Amino acid sequence: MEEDILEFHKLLGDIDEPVYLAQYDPESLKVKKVGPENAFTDRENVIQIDIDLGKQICSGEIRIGSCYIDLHQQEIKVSEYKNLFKIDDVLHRIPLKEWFDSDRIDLAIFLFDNEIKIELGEQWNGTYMSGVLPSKRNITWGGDKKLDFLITDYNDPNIIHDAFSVNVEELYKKSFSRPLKVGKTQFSVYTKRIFKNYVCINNENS
Amino acid sequence: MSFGYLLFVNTKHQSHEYLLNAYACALSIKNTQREGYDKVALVIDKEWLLEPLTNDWVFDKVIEWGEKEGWDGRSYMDKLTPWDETVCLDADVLLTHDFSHWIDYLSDTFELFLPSKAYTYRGEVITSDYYRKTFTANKLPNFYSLFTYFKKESPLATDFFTLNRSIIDNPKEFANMFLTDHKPKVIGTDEAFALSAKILGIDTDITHNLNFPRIVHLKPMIQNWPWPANKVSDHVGFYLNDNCELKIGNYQQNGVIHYNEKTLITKELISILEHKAWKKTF
Repeated sequence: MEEDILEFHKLLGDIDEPVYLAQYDPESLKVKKVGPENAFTDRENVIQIDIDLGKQICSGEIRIGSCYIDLHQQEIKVSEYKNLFKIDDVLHRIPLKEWFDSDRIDLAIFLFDNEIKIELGEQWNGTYMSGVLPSKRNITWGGDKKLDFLITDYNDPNIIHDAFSVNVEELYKKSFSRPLKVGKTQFSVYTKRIFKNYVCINNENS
Repeated sequence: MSFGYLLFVNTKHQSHEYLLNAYACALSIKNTQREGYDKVALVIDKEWLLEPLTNDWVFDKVIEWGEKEGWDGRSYMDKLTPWDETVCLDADVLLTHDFSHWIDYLSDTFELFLPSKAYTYRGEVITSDYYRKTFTANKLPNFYSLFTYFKKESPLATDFFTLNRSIIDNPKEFANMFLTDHKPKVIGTDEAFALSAKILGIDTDITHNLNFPRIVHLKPMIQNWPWPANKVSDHVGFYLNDNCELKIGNYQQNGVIHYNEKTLITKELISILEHKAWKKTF
């Protein structure tokens, strides 16, 4: 008797990719539940979400507690919300690129002789390309949209030479520049942390 | 008479970060101590681990020795030190000022010395026994082994370290006999040193009540904060400027800094310490 050999790729072809859904609280817009479609019996306040995003939330890569539904846009998407809770979040020293380990850069500060230029990473709709393929995410900015920067003595935020703020919307699709007022060759830039990875790039390194 | 500092690194049960910590400690000694008081010896289980270090000359003597694992090797400090007079420091320590005048005083006054006071980064004396329940319950002297001064030929120091080795080798027996009111999970160097001093009855002979050496102990739950903390660096910044002056939060530091968090020593911080050492030496 001849043995039938099943073609495995044909079997796979019949299987649809799962649809991921998110259920949210209509009052707070907080996401309550995320999972594949067949895990949902109650379809009230449920939206379909991107499969990769769904998997990231289910695997814990993105915390479900920090996900909200953005109803202000025409499309409904899941957004991330950030909390501040460590000194490094409220007073974060932005390292020079030579001391920075990660490939992913959320905000880059270019230091020229008399000018400072700030670019947001392209994954946040900015202009800085770090060379890593971005996975674009939408953000709902909880409250303050200001990015605060301090120009200080080298590695000492107690001695401040200059301070300025940039609205995050000023960095969408364009960069921000301002004169650099510091009478020293060595200095540091501190910020209130909103993104994960900030980096300073010296003119000669750019 | 020779004087020098002694550091221990054992990579078997300690991460390689300890070697970077010891390297930073040695650099800080070279940067701050005056000539004659700036020698450093390192006891390490694998000498070849020093090869990637840019400036291994900061270790004046390297002793390859790995007979005991982890911190247990420190009870052999009297046998391993190449110096006549030694201060044995923990690897996760930075010196911030010239302390040679302390060494002169200790040399004139003691054969063996252990500090019995430590400070928060704000300069307050630490009174909390959060990490020292064994000490309180068993009435052990409150010694900090991270800065241990001794004379190599001292009979007192020999007796002390010999007993200390017995305690480290037989922790259960000594805990059952002497630490019955609160047994520690592990008898660490601090507990072993305190117990040795208590058994020998020398606890008041090997310390003083003065405000030096000024040990700044950065364990999080003893910083007199009104909130619980996992890491000091979650709550205050650690700022080493280009002249190697250290601020923690907005407090300038001028003592022996026991920072505890191994990962605080970054490549950038090492680079700052190296630059100062080059400028001073060459």
